[in-house]
Amino acid sequence: MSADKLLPAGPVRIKFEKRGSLKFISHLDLQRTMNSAFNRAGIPIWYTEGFNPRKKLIFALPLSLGAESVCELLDFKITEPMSSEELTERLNAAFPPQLRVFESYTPENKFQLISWAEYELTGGNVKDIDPTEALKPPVVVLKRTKRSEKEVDISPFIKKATNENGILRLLLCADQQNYLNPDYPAKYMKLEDYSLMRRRIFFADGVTEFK
Amino acid sequence: MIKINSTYNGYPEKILMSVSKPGRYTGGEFGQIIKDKSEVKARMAFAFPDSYEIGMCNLGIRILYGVLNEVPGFWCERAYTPWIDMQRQLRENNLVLRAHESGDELYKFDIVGFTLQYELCYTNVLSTLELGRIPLLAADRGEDDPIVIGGGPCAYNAEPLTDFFDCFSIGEGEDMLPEFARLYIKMKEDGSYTRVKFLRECAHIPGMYVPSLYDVGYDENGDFAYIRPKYPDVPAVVTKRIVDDMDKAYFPDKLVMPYIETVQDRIVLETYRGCIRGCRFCQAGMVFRPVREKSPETLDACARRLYAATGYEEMTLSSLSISDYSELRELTDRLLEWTDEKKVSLSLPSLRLDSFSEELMQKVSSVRNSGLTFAPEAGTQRLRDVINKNVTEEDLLRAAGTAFRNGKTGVKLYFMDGLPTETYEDLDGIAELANKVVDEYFRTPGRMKGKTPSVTVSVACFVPKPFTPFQWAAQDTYETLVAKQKYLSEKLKSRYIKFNWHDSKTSFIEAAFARGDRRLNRVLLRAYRLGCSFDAWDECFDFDKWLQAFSDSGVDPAYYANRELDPSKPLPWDVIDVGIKKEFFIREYEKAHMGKTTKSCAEACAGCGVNRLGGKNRWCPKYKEEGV
Repeated sequence: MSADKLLPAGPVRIKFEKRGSLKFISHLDLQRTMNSAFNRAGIPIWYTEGFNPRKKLIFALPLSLGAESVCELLDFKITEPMSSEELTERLNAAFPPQLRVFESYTPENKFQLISWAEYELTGGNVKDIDPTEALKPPVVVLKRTKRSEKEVDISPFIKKATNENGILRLLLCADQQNYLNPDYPAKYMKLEDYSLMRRRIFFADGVTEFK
Repeated sequence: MIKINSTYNGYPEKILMSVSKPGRYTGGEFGQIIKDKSEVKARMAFAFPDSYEIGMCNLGIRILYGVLNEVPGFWCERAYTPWIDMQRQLRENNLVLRAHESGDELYKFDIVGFTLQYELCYTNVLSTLELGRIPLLAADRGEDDPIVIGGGPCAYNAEPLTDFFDCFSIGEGEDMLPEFARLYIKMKEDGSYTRVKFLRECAHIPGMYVPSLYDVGYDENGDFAYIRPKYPDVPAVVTKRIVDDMDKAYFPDKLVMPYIETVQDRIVLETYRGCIRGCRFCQAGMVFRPVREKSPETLDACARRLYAATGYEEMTLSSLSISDYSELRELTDRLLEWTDEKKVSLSLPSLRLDSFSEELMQKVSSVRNSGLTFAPEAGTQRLRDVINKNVTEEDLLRAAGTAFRNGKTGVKLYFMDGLPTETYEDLDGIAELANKVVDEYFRTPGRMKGKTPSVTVSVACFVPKPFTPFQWAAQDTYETLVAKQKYLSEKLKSRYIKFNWHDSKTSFIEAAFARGDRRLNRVLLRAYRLGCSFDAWDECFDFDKWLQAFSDSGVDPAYYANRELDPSKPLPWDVIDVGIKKEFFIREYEKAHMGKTTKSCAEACAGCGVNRLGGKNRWCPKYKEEGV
């Protein structure tokens, strides 16, 4: 890990995990939890202007209810310089134990550059699944949006699928237009009672980790 | 590592993923109190008999959770009634309800407590017990089963629940419950504990009511006749406990932070207890007397600590009538010194409309905007005098005008129908008052341009409650209440007025239990067996099942709800003394029928008698013997 650095006033990114029973907390509720936790931590966070000032907390990717993650990213702005070590420590003291910040840094890459996300599926009937067979294109699923339901072939959005020792790894599209919720391939493969973890996120090459 | 069949707080993941808002059951909240089981001598699960979202905000539990966990060797955890879908899952999969902190099953606890905030949560008490594998009937509990204790406002008449509880704490629990916890630990440690011996000892703790130690009798007409202790060492009357000095009373420095949104997800600062007003229908206004205030210094320090520990951006100044807090200006000034900067918004609920001012309004809406609610309660001055709600039409119009001038367009007005002596003229008065508020909007210079007013009229049904001057009054029959509501909805046709009314069916059941005696225990059990649950929720309340439960039990709900009681006869709740004398209630009941008002404690002492309970900084220095 990088040594203690002074974060200038301006944008800050934190990398954190959401584990254990925290996976039953929805994205909206996580935002509320974070909001009060930032107050407890006494972080000099920037608020939006206007009649109803708010903290601006921007999450890299949504995480569905029931999924754990060790690679969540969150952006916000600070109004005065602060040591990254102190910021991380203060947030960890204010967060519940299953929400842990690994590091904080000044972001260099925009979230728009996130292209792929790797998921691990374990437990249930996962060990019996051969993903090469089970995800042979086309993978047509019924996708629901707010307005309509339509059948889509999601195979272009599945870059890689392997199963080693009962750990099924899926590398799925995570860009803003074609974000693929891992529940779709999981349901297509008829997985049951599995646990889901987001492990890493990548740039467009699918190899370089996004930071 | 491959995880198979993971459980969270003792519940399998598969089940959690199949129910709505699983975060209600998994615990692990920031601020929860975890103790080392090996160092704990007695454990309690403090249950709120409604959903997590409601229970998490209860101020009483927040206080008592903190105070009980200060008792050495004692660990108090939380529990809630699982929502319908989770109940079904637990039953179908043969699983047991668990407490939040340890994830242990309820039956494993030494003590299970329930706060009883409203009558319509009673069936949830039974489902919580049963899902926790605790025998429903106190008489069926063995040495290894938990002691089940109840408290809260409904414990003042606990008679309809006596079959299910081992004991009740009457009044404020800050001192009493730690005494109870210490007694439990002591008797367990010295080996003298048996269920029977412990409960007998409990009866010696002031404020503790052990219903199994009393005999109850009825006269030849089937009316309640007497309640008396079975043994000479058991008190004939249980006097409620109060906290002596509110500035020294325990108040939590931190809160358990729910992950999921709850109904009052904010800091609640208790400014004072009791009420100086004496509205004749209001139980809270009577049973929480004497009025005892906290100082602005205490409250400000407490607010700062709670903000640092919680990070909440909303703070409510809680009380029965916030404008009666004698140092409100001092308090809000102190708070605003730092809350604005921290973006914390203050809300002042229960504002009386006779004290609503421009200054107060600007303080309250300084960061966030919210609607305004006023409670004239009745439509005519005559009826407002009967109920002793000492506000006038001028007060209301002035307050509404102030609100409109300050950019508000919406006002909510709360009324009650079915009040004693009510006539259709009083209902006309509700409609007239609402129309005058609308007129006031158009008459107000500086109102919001290009907007129209929206006046919401909410009408609840009068429910006679024990320990109020109206405890003897009859509730209107269901048919009468429906007719009145229909009449009102015809009268309130303006497009600027929205009319809401409370379902009179639930009010009828509420009234029967509020004034119930021990014969209602079997009705409650029957209703539970028929499937009644979450009765305070419109989507769950099943009136027909309740009527069937009454009829199956041979009990007539109208006998309890719709009958005017005779003030000279004993009442089932006479075993409890709330400090206020029965003669005061009788006097107030008579004055109501004469249309005479009684001054607030700030103006004159009406001699209610509660002064004898003591209490520092109380509002009744001019106590008069027997209220001359």
